Amino acid sequence: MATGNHGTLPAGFEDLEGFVAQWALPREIDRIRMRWTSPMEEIRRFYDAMVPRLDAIIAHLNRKPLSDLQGPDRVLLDLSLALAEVADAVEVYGRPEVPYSFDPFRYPPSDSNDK
Amino acid sequence: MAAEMNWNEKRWFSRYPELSTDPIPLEPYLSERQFELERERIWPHVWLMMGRVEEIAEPGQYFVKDIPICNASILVVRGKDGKVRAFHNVCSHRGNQVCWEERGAASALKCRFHGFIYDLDGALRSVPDERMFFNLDKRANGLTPVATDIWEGFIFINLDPHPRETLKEYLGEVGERLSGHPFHEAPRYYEYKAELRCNWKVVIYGFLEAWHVVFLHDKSAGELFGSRENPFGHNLLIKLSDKHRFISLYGNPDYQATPVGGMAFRFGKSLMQVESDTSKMLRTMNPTRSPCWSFDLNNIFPNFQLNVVNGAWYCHRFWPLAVDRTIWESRMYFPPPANAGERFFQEYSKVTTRNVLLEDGSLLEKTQAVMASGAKRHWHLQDEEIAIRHFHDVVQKFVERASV
Repeated sequence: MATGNHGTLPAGFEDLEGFVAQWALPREIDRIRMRWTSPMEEIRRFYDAMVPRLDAIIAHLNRKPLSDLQGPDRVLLDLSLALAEVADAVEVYGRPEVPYSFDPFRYPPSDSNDK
Repeated sequence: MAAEMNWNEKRWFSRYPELSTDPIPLEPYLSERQFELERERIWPHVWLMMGRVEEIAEPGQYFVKDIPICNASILVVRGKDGKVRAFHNVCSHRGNQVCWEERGAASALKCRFHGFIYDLDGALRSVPDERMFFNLDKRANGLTPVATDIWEGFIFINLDPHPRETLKEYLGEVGERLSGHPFHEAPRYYEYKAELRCNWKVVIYGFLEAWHVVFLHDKSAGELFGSRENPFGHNLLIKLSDKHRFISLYGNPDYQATPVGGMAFRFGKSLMQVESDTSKMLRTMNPTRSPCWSFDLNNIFPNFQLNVVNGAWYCHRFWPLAVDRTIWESRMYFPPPANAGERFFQEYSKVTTRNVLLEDGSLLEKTQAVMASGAKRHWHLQDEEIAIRHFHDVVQKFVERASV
């Protein structure tokens, strides 16, 4: 069972700390599972908290090359990848799963997606 | 120009009068006999895309790709001389698979069964306990090579020991049109793989026309691929060549990205987008120079679909396992993300594309399941579905060949 990274976020992003355990998941397959199986209210709460902060998140993380992001910065990046995962649940489908779709665990991402 | 196009007229079958507008019979999509004929008459005689040169950039790097319908495991390796070669992944001793990993790097290839060692150019270098063999000529017992060629960084093989056409001849117009396209600038791929309960051709047809988008993908892509002017997403261009198909797809220039999508698109070129500015566009894309262009689709026979957007690309490959089972592999290619903004954008683009593909996957399985009932014996195609008729005919030409 995948668990979130329990590290803290960089200074200035303490407001998002409550989402780390659930959503800071480094692997795409775990982000898919969390999106597909979480209640819509939890997805919406996460989305609503992240969207107004996205500019600041990217500005902070973009100060370094991607390969240099470690520790708290990596956790923050994982949170932003989770926003990318849930965005269309909120903006397009209005529900956690893609309706009428193929089982996403039968079309899984390769491990190399996460490198 | 798209603005001058009449979206209300038939444009394609009239250009290809040799193609019948009759309904398509369903037997080739259900028949075991057809599958066996395809196994014998198509797959050992065509160029098949195995991977890209960036995957084996350094000497000693290799990857293995299975071709289940041919019962083949193909080893693709870059030699010490820098050359890319492909071999059947079979040891000359007692036929064990030499490489068991999907990819790796080695200075030589060693069989785990009895320690036979092959050089990276396939030569049999060393045989343990050699004196106990009888007249084993090492020079005649290297790995069995497979015809290999590279086009724009794509590594193709052909299982025919004497391919009927060179790769360049085989690709024809597709190869010429895409010559010089900078695929190598977007080598970072994200991959998904599924086993679908569906005939390989039926899977391909799900990606060979655009007008299902406004229905099947109405929420996820409908507003991007259709509009008030062009409500069914009629194509900008369809070009059919000897074995292959090309479609240049329409995009709604008034498409509005979602809030997160809009933020993501500041950092890169999405797989699902509309490109209206044709002023600096490469000549290898959007041949009609339409300001309503989304992407170009190249369906290369038998199983390689290469989709080009501005700044990124993605591809699908389809590998038959049985008449109603197919492996479907997708790879989405972007420039290597330099920073978090680019990585975030790529994640958004690949997730939203992935979700659209998930909508296709379930549909294809449902279609195959009920097709087998025999309730219907034909499909009825419309003008924009001409590529399906063309693919059907190309398959039948191969299958009906008396001699191969």
